[in-house]
Amino acid sequence: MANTFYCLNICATIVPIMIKDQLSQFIKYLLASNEIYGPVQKGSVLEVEKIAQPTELALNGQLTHHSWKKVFLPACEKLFDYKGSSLSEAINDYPQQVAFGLTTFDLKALNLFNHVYEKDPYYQRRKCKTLLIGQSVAPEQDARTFKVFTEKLEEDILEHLEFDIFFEQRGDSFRVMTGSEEGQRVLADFGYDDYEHIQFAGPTKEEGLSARTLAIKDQLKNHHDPKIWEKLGKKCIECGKCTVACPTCYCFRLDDEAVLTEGEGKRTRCWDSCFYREFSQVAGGHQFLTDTAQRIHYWYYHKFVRIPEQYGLPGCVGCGRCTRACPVGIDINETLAKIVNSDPVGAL
Amino acid sequence: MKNQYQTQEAKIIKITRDSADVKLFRLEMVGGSVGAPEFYPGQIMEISLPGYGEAPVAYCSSQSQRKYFEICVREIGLLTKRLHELKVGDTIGVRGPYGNGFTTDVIKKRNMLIVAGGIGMIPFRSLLETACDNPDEYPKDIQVFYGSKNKEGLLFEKDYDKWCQKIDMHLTLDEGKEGEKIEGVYCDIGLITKLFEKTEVIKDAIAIVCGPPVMCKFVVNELKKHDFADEDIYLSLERRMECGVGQCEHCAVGPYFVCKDGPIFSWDKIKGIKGAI
Ligand SMILES: Cc1cc2nc3c(=O)[nH]c(=O)nc-3n(C[C@H](O)[C@H](O)[C@H](O)COP(=O)(O)OP(=O)(O)OC[C@H]3O[C@@H](n4cnc5c(N)ncnc54)[C@H](O)[C@@H]3O)c2cc1C
Ligand code: SF4
Ligand code: SF4
Ligand code: FES
Repeated sequence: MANTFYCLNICATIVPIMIKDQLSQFIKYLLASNEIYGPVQKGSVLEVEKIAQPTELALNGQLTHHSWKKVFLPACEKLFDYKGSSLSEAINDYPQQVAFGLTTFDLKALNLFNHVYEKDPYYQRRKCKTLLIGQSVAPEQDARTFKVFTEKLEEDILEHLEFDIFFEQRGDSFRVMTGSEEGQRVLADFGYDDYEHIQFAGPTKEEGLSARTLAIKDQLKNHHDPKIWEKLGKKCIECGKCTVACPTCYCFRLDDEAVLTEGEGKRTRCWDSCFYREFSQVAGGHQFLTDTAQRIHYWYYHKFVRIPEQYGLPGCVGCGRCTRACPVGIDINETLAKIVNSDPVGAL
Repeated sequence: MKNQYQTQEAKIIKITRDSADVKLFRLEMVGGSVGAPEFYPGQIMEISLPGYGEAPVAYCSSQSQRKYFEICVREIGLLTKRLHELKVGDTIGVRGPYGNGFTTDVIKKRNMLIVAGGIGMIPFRSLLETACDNPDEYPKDIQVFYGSKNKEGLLFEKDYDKWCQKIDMHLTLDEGKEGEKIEGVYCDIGLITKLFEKTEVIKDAIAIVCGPPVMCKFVVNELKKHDFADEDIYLSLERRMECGVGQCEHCAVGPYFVCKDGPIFSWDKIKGIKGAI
């Protein structure tokens, strides 16, 4: 195509590139018929927000402070209207939307949500109306994490993520890839066809969970030192900020809210946090998670044991958001290092 | 798309008070051809009273009863208080069944010792009723140890007569008069562990335990003293539940979920989990 530019990449093959102007036009094109959510600069951090102008999107490969989960699972969502004892499914308005600028970390987290909410009509309806557009992570973002990019983006990562279109930053331009027919169709309608297609090969690699994920799981389940939790329990103030920021935290509770008409109201699903005391409370006031140490252990155990066992996927994508969000400086990498290196003194 | 949180309506067709704070509700599904959902003894459902939320409760009637099903509920909080105010003819929402229940054949092939404390007796009624209705399917011996704080707290007295034809039943009260007979069953005074000393415990049996956590701890000790293998001891666990389908994370016990993998767990599986009981 005439308006396509080329550059040489490191292995000296020629890859097609979309320049910034074109990208801007593409965003404008999408805005005409979609709501677009993407990273927007808010003070010193990026947050996922609805945009009105292409220039608002900050596609610089940096992670947003909070995760993208609100775009797929609102913090509170109406599930039913009730009248007497019968529930009628809420017909929520799901606009055609674009999630523009999900990093590979965020797409990995979405793999998990896709499984957790596989049978959930609300999630599925919203997702069917959402175009997923990914972007590569800036190299310096990776320093504090699990070093995902010791893997090759294309073979090792992208083919295991579900997305429609993906932009890999190449200097001032972007290499364009598609991951679905829908992505190909959208680009074709816009008038761009110099992309490469990546065939989705399932959410995990052929060999299954990574050695690191398996090692943490085994250590946490069977061999680590429970004193780790006592120490963290003394530090953590149970604010729940880590659970709000984390892209893989998906706990929720169901609430009923009455309206003024007698016997009518709505049943909602709202995000919950295992750091809150009521989380494990049953009738009569008994709490099964009795102190902070147990609550923080429950959180780690969910991510690093229960999720891998239940879904065969990692429960943590290594984005580091929890560490950034924590007001008392609890660092997930430090805790994981302690778990992996601690002496086997029996299971907790 | 099928909605896993949608409830079906069930109509209350009979209410019996069973103790000061416990009522037995007989329910019939509205609009279906059969009055009862298909379930196994030990499984649970979510009952829904819009405006008051949902609560997990056990199926309490015989699995063979297809015309209606029963739940037995203690009044303890918001929803259960409202339920207790309802009358015959009112409807509630139900969804389920959830959990494993006694789905395997192990309960039909082995002798069984049932140990229940307080309202922990509720899920066993379904099992005992089912066994009484189907003696050919449940040819093995069943022994029941049931402890309650006092006489007023005992549940299902009206059923003892029928149960005793098949079941070796033993009662004990924390407080009361030694040796009193309740519906023909001799009543001891003391903690449930006392029954292990006084009674010849059934041999070659599995044991199923449901009750407050402290009781479970003591009972497991007794069972170990009586040479029950870890994998032959089963416990029914309580946890906070919201979704009932293994999604919301409220009910996890170690790597398991009470709503999905439980509520019945073999001791073998959970003994290493701190805080399990
Ligand atoms: C597996 C299982 C089986 C049960 N079977 C029975 C039964 O057959 N009969 C019976 O009387 N009770 C049973 N219970 C306990 C019963 O679910 C609670 O007593 C009931 O939820 C209390 O609701 P409430 O609104 O009256 O109490 P409140 O204290 O007002 O409840 C407040 C909130 O706590 C939640 N909650 C409180 N207790 C529990 C609990 N134990 N489990 C889950 N959520 C809870 C409710 O969802 C509600 O949102 C069972 C519990 C479990 C886990
Ligand atoms: S690094 Fe923290 S915020 Fe990111 S996925 Fe893991 S637990 Fe969640
Ligand atoms: S952000 Fe930090 S202090 Fe707050 S709940 Fe999480 S670990 Fe605890
Ligand atoms: S009740 Fe939600 S996971 Fe069990």
